[in-house]
Amino acid sequence: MEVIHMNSASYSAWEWRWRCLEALGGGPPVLAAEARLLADLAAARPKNYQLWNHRRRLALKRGAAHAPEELDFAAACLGQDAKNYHAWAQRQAVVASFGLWAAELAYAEALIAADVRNNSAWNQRWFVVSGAPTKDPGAVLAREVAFAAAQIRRAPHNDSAWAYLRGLPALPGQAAQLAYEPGIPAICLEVLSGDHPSCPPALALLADVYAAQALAARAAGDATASAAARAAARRCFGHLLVADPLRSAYWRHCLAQLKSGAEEDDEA
Amino acid sequence: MTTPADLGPRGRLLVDKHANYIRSFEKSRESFEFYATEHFRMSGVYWGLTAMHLLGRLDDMDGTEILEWVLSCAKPDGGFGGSERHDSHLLYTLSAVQILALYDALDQADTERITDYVASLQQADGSFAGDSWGEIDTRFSYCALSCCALLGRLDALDVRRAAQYVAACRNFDGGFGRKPGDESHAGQVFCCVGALAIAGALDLLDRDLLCWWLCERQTRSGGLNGRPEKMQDVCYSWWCLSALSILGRLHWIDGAALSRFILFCQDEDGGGISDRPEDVADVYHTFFGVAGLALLGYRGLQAIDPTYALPVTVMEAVKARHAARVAAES
Repeated sequence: MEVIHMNSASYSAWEWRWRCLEALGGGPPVLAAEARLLADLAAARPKNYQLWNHRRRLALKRGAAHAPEELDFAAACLGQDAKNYHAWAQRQAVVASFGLWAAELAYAEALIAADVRNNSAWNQRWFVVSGAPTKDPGAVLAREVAFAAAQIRRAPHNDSAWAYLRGLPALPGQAAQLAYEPGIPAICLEVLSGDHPSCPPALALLADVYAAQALAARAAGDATASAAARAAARRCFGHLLVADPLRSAYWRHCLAQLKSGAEEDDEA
Repeated sequence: MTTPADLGPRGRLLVDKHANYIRSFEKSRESFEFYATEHFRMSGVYWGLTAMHLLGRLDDMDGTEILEWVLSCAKPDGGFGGSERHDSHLLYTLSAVQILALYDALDQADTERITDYVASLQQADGSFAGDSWGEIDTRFSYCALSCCALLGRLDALDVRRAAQYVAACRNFDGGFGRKPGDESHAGQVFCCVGALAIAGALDLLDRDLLCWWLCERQTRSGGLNGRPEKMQDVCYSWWCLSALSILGRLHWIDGAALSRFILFCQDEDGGGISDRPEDVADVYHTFFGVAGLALLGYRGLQAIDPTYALPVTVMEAVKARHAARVAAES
């Protein structure tokens, strides 16, 4: 223990400690004492890999009865730093091991409500939504599109919410594609027609929806619809060249890809 | 926060100051830092030496003494510890092999024992533990693949399964985390892209979606952050840029703005580079700042290989060594 106090990242010392715990029989009083000790150490060193690794083993060994206590502990750490990578991973291990999906959805939602730009909380929501068993993936998709749209209305320039929305058609069990989920272009257009006509993430996602629609129309043999969707995408990317000059090389790449699609149309 | 137009003395890379800063660590064995960093000293030495190589100043270091020390950290299980007094860990095993490669001294490595050690850490799902005690992280997938590739022994691993595990850590935003479900993080993105590149499995990632996420990491300061809404930090100049470089999309970010941000983080008095302007410099950020500038083609720096984080000339020698061995065996 003295070594860990001197240098809490000494991985050999932590491993030795775990062996000692097991040698002591690993009974509930021993494990509870260890959890209290780790809580004190974590308060001082919240980003220590070795400590969290030890803590995860301990939590899984202590079992479901102690899961709420473990989630409270991680939540207290997140109260200090809402983006602590290790604390989120700890919650994931506990949630997945003991099936606590509904409570975790509520927790992630509360943290997004507190700070809509907390990307870690968005990732946790994805972890729950993609991991929790469901009988109706269509309803989950609709609920999540509506949730993301509501959060985008709160802060239209928030990359985290847009990345989440863009990813939703890739949820497990979904047949949906970007081109066919009407709620996605709807929120883009709502933002752009309101107070944020040059909002880069809205323009970028809308451009990708149009590009996907152009591809779908071409696959269906509808050259007119394909050309119209492609022109709409081109207008969005052109707008982005002005609205987001730091990434102009990327927007030019997108325009070049659209153009090569158009040439294939001409050949067909 | 923006980077000022006039960077003053920091307008150019202060090569001599940085070389002196790195060299000073050789002499400070009485300091607190020397003991506080003992458990990861092997990586610290790799960062310092690679930075010196990129600066064209590797000859300033005592190579004989360094190699002797590296070999003294080899453990009976075949791995290397962070120092003489620490157990084997994949992180330091890779750093040790990288240092041997820097000095064209891979023939001093016990290739069989090291590859056996690395292979022993691979799990049934393709992932790797960092040491014999089982922490799983995609950082270790990169370490294992890079280490065996440098030794010319990728055949010792189940490369296909290793790549599949890394691919399972891919997220909805195109990025990668430590384990399946973990948030995308630019440091892990480097590890995962590097691992897939070594495994010849870059088809398992969504190149455009990931590179878009990476170039979204550039903030108005010109610097890069590691996750959305986090502060820019010089180390991401390496983590993000190397991945963009491997994937052929380096030009998607504003390189001139990033160069200026890195230069602004120099300590113009004591040498070294810090995470953000006016913070205290350290050898980690000094290496990643210099390496980022090297990827951007900064004048006077040696070129760096984005996958292996070693100078291009070093990687050419490593590849020539493996080619000669294969020719001799066939």
